[in-house]
Amino acid sequence: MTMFQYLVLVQDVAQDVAQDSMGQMDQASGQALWMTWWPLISARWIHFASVFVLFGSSFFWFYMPRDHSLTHPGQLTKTLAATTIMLRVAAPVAAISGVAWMALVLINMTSNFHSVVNPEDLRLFFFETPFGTVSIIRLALFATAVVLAFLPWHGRVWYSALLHLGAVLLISQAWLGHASEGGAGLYGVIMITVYATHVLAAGAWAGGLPPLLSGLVEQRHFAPNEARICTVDILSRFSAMAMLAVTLIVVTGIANAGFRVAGSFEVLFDTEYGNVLFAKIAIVAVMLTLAYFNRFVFMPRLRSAALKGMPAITWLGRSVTFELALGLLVVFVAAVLGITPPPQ
Amino acid sequence: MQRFLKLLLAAGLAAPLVASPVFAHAFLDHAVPGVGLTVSGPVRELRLWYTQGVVTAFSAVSVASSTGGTIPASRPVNDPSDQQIVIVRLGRALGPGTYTVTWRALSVDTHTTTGTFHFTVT
Repeated sequence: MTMFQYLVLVQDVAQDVAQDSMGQMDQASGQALWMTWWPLISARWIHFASVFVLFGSSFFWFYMPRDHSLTHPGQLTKTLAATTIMLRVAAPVAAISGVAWMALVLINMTSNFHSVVNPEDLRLFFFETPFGTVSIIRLALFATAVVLAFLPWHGRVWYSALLHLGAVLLISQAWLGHASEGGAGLYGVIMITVYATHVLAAGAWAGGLPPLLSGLVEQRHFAPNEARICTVDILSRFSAMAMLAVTLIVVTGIANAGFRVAGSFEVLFDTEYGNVLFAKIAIVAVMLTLAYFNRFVFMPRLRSAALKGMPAITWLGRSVTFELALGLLVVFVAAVLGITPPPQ
Repeated sequence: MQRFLKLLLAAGLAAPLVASPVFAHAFLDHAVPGVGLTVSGPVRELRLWYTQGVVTAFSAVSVASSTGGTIPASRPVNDPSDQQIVIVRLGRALGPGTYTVTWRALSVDTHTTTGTFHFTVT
């Protein structure tokens, strides 16, 4: 018997229990969860956002037109340099926030802040739980990402490596939350696949917004006609990717919600989980509206604009900035959703 | 393209419906000896069925007699064939009397739940 189990038994025996109960949220864990709520939410939020940047901002350069691609940076040299700096910041931030998230999960499991330095609890966590293996893999990925980020060269292989690291980090989150409840069978595989598709699509969309915004800003300094042509070109590429990503986000989002409530969507109403989920849907709906205006209102105007007086470019910049802010907000709500108990 | 999107949407909606339901967090479904029931004969082990897979490394089950004395027991282990079943082997066979089982379960989604129930041995 471990020290942890002994302490729980002593505590439990000391309690005067009067009624049969099929279970409730652990009160001790609830208190620990309450004390660690903001740190846990913050760690998850920062981690999601930084990994989205690792994946989505790297990915951006692989669907750009050849003139602006990694092999031919063309005129977007400042945007490429800004993306490199952003990735170099995102990697250590993802590593630090990822380790913090892991530590806070352990604290909530044991209801004990000292468990993060207790060798026995750490041994149990890493070697006797299903979270252990994935946590070890994630620690190795964090270390690789940090080492990669500080390498002096940053060519196509460097971007590709960070893109793949970001993708594996996003997918591996599935084993640290609700998506892991499907077990090892086909149902579990479907749940993990749906979750992985959801986060990868979301990462490609939201993580691609910072370099897109940077590109739009950089092109405003070009000659008017050149700016117009380049903006339409870049936006067309981003829109094509975003439309596929959004479709996948919506479909897998519905499926994810269905998994949480076992297909009974009506239980989402009047529950904390449902409220958080509806808040997320509302923010995504506003983002979709902005994306719709960018693609189907501003871009056609830009295509047919005269050489001078193209307010559409200015509006596009503002719209993408707002979309990016909403993206950060929706990642925050996703961080809350992951630790909110789904309705039974 | 439209046909593909419709198929995708249908797949997304259908995926949670065609599979057996699972629940977030592990709650007790049933147990042997049964919750609140009276059983005859000596009881040498407890089996607890949960609504979700349980990680026994950070879970605990205790058994106490009506006088409050703790019954020695093994650490909880999963049934090798089903992670939703937790088995606790008792240090001695339980004689006649009423017993209280108190449990704490860590589910595979990293959340913990607690519960308690009684059973009587005649």
